[in-house]
Amino acid sequence: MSVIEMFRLKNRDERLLAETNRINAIGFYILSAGILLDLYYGMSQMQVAFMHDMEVEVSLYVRPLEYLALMGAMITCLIISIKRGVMTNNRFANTEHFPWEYYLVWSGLGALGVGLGTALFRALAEYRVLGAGQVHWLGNGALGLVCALMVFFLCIGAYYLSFKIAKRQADKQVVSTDSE
Amino acid sequence: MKNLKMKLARVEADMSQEDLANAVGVTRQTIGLIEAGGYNPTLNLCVAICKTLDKTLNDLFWEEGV
Repeated sequence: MSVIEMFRLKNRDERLLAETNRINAIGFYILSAGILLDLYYGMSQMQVAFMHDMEVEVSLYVRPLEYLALMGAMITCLIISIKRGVMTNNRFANTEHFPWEYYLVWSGLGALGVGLGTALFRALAEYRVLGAGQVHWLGNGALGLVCALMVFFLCIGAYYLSFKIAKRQADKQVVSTDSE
Repeated sequence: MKNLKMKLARVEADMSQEDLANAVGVTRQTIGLIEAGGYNPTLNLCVAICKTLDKTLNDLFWEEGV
């Protein structure tokens, strides 16, 4: 068997394919979360330094390529999912109406994560850039709250829009064979 | 749940797990896992196994009272 023929083989073990997909998904989640945390921390440090007219170490900058790669991966997954009419794989995958309660909970969890993350990363950045005595807990908490509220409404809006488009796509995929 | 019917049909057809795996385009481990009840194959793979062993889906994959 030549090398070219080897790569042209179409028979692939479905179990191995499913297993590797699951394994790759775990890696994708870990990698995404890591890059997201790194970017968020970098942004917090740059903001703190900017607010106090300070120079920040080059190693702490947000790297545009890293940012673009993460956003590119997320947006690609979202577009493919929506185009294929897939919004979720649980019991809400085939509902007629937007399941408000379900997405309110997810948006709330997202907002909580972003709110806490913003406040903590900001505090950590102040500690790192300005020193221990310059951490403004109240201000950081307020900033976290504002970010959480923004993320909450953004998430709900994005979920609603994605659901509607995915639903339209899924409806197009229905193939009726009753008349045959 | 173990699939003893499939194992029996394979032995009757004088095939090893390796032979059946090669015939349907999967690995030997996958065939072993199906027989041991550790993997639920897709309908496509079930059909391919049935055709190779000259059996029907009912013969190999239907369990009464499950």
